[in-house]
Amino acid sequence: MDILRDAKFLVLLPALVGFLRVGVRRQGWTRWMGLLMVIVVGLEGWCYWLSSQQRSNTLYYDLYMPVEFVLLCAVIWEIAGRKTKVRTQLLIGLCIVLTVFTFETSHNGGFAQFNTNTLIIGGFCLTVLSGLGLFRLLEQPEPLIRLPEFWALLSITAYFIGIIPVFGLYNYLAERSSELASDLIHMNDVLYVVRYGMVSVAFFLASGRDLRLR
Amino acid sequence: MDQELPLNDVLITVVVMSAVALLFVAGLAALLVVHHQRRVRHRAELAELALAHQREVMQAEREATQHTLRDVGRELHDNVGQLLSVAQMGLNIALAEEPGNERLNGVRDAADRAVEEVRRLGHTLNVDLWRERSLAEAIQVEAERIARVSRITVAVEVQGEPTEPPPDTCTILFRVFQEVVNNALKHSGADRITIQLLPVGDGLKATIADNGRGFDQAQVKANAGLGNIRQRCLLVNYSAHCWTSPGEGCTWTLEPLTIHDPLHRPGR
Repeated sequence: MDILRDAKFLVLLPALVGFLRVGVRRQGWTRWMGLLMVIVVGLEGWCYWLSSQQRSNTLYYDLYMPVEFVLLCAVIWEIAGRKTKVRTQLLIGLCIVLTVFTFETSHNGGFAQFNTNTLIIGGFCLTVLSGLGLFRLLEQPEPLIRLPEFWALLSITAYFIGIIPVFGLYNYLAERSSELASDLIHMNDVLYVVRYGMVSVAFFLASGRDLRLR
Repeated sequence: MDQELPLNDVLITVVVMSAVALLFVAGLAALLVVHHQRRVRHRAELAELALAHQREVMQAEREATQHTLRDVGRELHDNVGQLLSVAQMGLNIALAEEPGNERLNGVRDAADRAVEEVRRLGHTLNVDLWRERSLAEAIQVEAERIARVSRITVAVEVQGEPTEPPPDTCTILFRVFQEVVNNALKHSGADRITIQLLPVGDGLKATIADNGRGFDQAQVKANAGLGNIRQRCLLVNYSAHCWTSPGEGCTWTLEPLTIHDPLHRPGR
């Protein structure tokens, strides 16, 4: 399964190159997705080093969750934010997720284990919101597969819809078998590769074009 | 072992659920792409229909205008022309009785010119005329008339044998030509107008240049007259370009749009 872990790191590379290619034209959603990319690269590197030192990295992943949620909300906001309804739904989702995160952190032993409830609820909200954003793109005259926004939103939908069952049962499995829980995490790695593969496509399509949607 | 089996089942179930969710998203994305393509195609078809409708409305307007013009032309020729001819004959008889009457001579000359003008005007308004003479010939005749009635030199140069556009196109191009020349006469202060006609593809290219004072296109951008010329040409798949600047005269080029031109509309 090391190949999956390596792939997880390797797939970040084209996404990062794609983000750099967007260059001075960085605007709209690309800056938020790019910022998330930079944080992810730092986080994954740091957590990989911690795990190689046999130290827990759950604290960092838990702290990363609300940051990721806020940044992805910003991405969806930039793409689909022209519709007032989506803005309202984004704000509602943001409030729910931050409330769950605060509650889970204070009532569930702090950062000792993955805040899976935050991840599941956040994942559900992001799936719905990015799905709404995808429907918003139907108004565009250009073919969807050539729209970077399509790939950016699809990466969010695909990843978060996939991790809901994974993290829904992660703590249950971790309490009974750490080995099986570790196997389960590999599914997250697969989703991770799918997600950042799509993000790479989005960045490469975004380079050299005006990102203002009609 | 008994405890591990259900856990394994849980793991497999989760992986399957996750994979199914991923496949669901892939399916949804494919559906969206297909639906979007259909939607775009549908919109394009609607736009094309709207354009076709607009074209039909314009065609109907054009036909109505031509019908009116034909009636007015016929009326001028058959009615006013006949009355003038009667007057002309009366004057001829009077002049036969008084050959040296200078006043009657002058009136008869005026009547002759009036008959000729009425005939010419009747022909101009009659769109069926394009069956009898070509656009190049009509432009040459019009140029001669302008040279006759104004102090401007009008030079017409016809290169090769320009392909004759359809009668509708001829009518519109001729009206555009008249408007361009009229603009030059009224506003340019030019003393020379040069007209060049040459065959281009399925039609002809007309270049109308004057040596007048020219104008700044940016300042007259909102001018309805120039836009009208372009719009009328577009109706018959022709483009109208104007090159001018203050002190440099003005040159208009009317030429057929190619099928590669974004403004080109099929079926006209």
